[in-house]
Parts: sequence; C-alpha cells; structure tokens
Amino acid sequence: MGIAMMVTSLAFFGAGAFVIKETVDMKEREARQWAETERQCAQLLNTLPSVSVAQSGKDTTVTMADVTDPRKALSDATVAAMMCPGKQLAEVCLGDRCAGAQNKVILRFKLKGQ
Amino acid sequence: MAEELSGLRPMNAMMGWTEGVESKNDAIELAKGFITRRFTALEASWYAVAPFMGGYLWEVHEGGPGKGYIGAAIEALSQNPSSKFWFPSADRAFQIMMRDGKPFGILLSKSESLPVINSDQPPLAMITKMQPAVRKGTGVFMTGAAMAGVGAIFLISSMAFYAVSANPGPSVRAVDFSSMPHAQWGQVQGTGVEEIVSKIEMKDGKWSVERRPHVVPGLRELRDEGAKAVQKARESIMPMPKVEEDAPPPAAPPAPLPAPAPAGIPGAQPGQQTPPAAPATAKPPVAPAAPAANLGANGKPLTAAELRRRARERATGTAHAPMPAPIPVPVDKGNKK
Repeated sequence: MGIAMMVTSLAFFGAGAFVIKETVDMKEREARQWAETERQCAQLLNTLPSVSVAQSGKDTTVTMADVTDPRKALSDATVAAMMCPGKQLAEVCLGDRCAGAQNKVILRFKLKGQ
Repeated sequence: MAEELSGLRPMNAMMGWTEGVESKNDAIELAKGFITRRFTALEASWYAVAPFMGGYLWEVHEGGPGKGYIGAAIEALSQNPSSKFWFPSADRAFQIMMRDGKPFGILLSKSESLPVINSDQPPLAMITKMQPAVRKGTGVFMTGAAMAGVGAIFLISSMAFYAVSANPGPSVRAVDFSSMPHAQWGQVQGTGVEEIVSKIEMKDGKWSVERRPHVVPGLRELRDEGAKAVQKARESIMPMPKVEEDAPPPAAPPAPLPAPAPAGIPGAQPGQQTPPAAPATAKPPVAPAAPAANLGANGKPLTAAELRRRARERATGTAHAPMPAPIPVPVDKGNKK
C-alpha cells in the first residue's frame, strides 16, 4: 500500500511538473501570438485610405481624413475592429464636427487594448 | 523489580552469540530463524544483532516495546568479563556471561531465576533499539501517504497555476454586429436635403447622431412654384361626364362635350366650358385639336366604355392625339427590279 502510494505520488509529481511546463510554454506561445497579432493589426490599420494611426500605450487611435464615402468609412471601421482581436472598439466618430475635423468629414475611432 | 518492568518488558527475551558469522545479514537471518522456530507472535517480535568478539551477538524478543539489552550486555561484558549479568524474560531471568572466553547466555529456570531477580544486581538496561521481525510496512505506508499527499497537492497547485495563467490566444471574439459601425448607416440613411449629419458617434458603447439644418437658398420658392404648378394641373382636369352605361346611343349626335384643356396650361378652371366647335371654315387651333368628346373618328357616337377610357387617359395624362391618317406614298413600280 505504501509503495503503491509512493508510485502514485510519483505520477502526481510527474503530472504536476508536466502541467507546469505546459503552462509556461503556453504562456510564452500566447505572448508571441499576441505580439504578432498586434504587429499585424498596426500594419493592416496603416493600409486604410488616408489614415493616420496614433499609438498611446495599449490604445490605438485611427483617423481617416477627407472621407468622401461615409458609408464605406463606417464599414472600414468595422473591418479595422475585426482585424485587431486584441483590441476593443471604444470610440467612433464620423462627421465634420468630430474632434479635430476642421470642417472636413473625418472618421476617427479608438481601439482600446486589453 | 518485576513490578517495575511490568507492561514494558517482552514476553520472551533471548540472547545468543554465533561464532564465525561475518555478515550482518547472516546474523539477522539467524535471529529471524530463531524467532520463527520459537516464537508464536511473529509480528510482535523483535531482533537486534551486533558484532562481538569475532562473531555476532543477537537478541530476540517476543512482544515488548522493541528495546533490547544487547548494547548494555556488550558494554558490561567488555568492561567486566568475569561477571554475570541478567535481564528478565517473562517471569524468569536470562543470564549472560563469558565462558571459556566467549559470550554465553542461558535462560534460568524459575527456581534459579528467583534469587537472581530478587538479588541486588540490577538487570541490564533496555537501551538498544530493535528491529521488527516482520515489517508491517507502517513506515513505508506513512512515507507513501506523505508522498502521495504532497504529490496530489503539487498536481492540484499546478492545475490552479494553469487555470490562472492560461489565457485564450488571439481569436475573434463574440461580436454584436448590430453595434458595429457599419450597422449604424440606417440611422442617417433617410436624412433629407434640409439636414446635414454633423456626426455619428459612438461613446461608451452608445451610438448617437448629431444633425444640423441645411439651408438651401431659393429652395422654398422653388417648392412653392412647383406646388402651384401641380395644383393648376390638377384643376385643369375636367370632371368626368355622367353617362348612363346602359342608355342606348342617341339617334342624333348630341351636343359636343367641352374638350379638356391641355395639362399644365395655367388659367384653366374646373367646369369651364370650352367654346362651341368652330365652323369648318374657322382656322384650326395650333395645338392638336382634341376630337369631340363623344364622337369617334368616324363621326359615330362613342360608347360609354370608350368615353370612360378617354376620361381616364385624360386624368392620367396618357391621352394621345388620334393617329393621323397615313399619307399615301406613291410607289414607283418602274424602279422596282
């Protein structure tokens, strides 16, 4: 009985060590995935037309100037939000009375990092 | 002395010396063999061995706390080889001494034991830890239980570490499409020409639309003029004549009905009578003359259904002037090949 419990304890120790090792590996893998996702997000945001991307900590503010097709601009904002799964769409403003619009129709949206 | 040892001493206690044994394991097997042969309560038996004078001194107990006399015996025999020493074994005395230069032990009879037990010589002290003849595995069990417990705690802790540390990797979250920007176009889709959408905004998860009026110079006047033109056009449409559907056609051509004024001509009033048909010598009007309302192209009176159709066409503005008679084109048959 005692020996059986010793053997069982060895199995417990082994399983615990395996779980810890896998957890550490997974955390490292997740960190790499998130970093790559962030990089791709920033890269894709810069492909939007007439766009300027400002990074503030984990938050990203995207401004599209001289919007001529407002419906398409709204769709662009949706696409941008979907392109960046690590961020959440926090603010959106489309129009010529948005902050910094200067009487021109702009689209500005903020993606908040998590 | 016997009363002092009561409850602590073994039921049987023996000690022997085997010459020529060089291995401790052999001495142990000797002791165990003695226990197997002589004792009944094997699982309550103890043994102890120690090298002494070129051989091994061994001691076995049946029952008792597992404390032996062998250590005290070796010390006593080494210091005073000429003396006899004893220790209790049940209600008798076991005597140990040196005989012919070798250790020798003997279990005294009851009659021989009494003087020894009642003498002033104290028994040997129980100072040596003995080993159980049959291992119960308690130590292994306790060790295994402890290891299993620690291992289980370690495994549970590692799982807790996994649960706390593991986060989902990048993935598309559950999305409420109705709250996404592209779905907000419906809020501004019906904006008229007199409004401007200043901004459509999302803050704190709520969408809002801000509008301002759009002033178009001359738009009001243009609309007024249009409304007047429409009104006039409506007023220019003549009311439908009342015709008995089942009435037989009149024998003689009735008086001509007033012809409707062309649509869009201002000044026409409802119910206004047109002048009677001009004589044949009169100059025809510039606009295509409407045919007499109740006469067909062949001069015959129209049926009620035809009258209704024409009135409907006038009301909807789809009235057409009658097709002119086709102009005969002379055909030069001589040019035909």
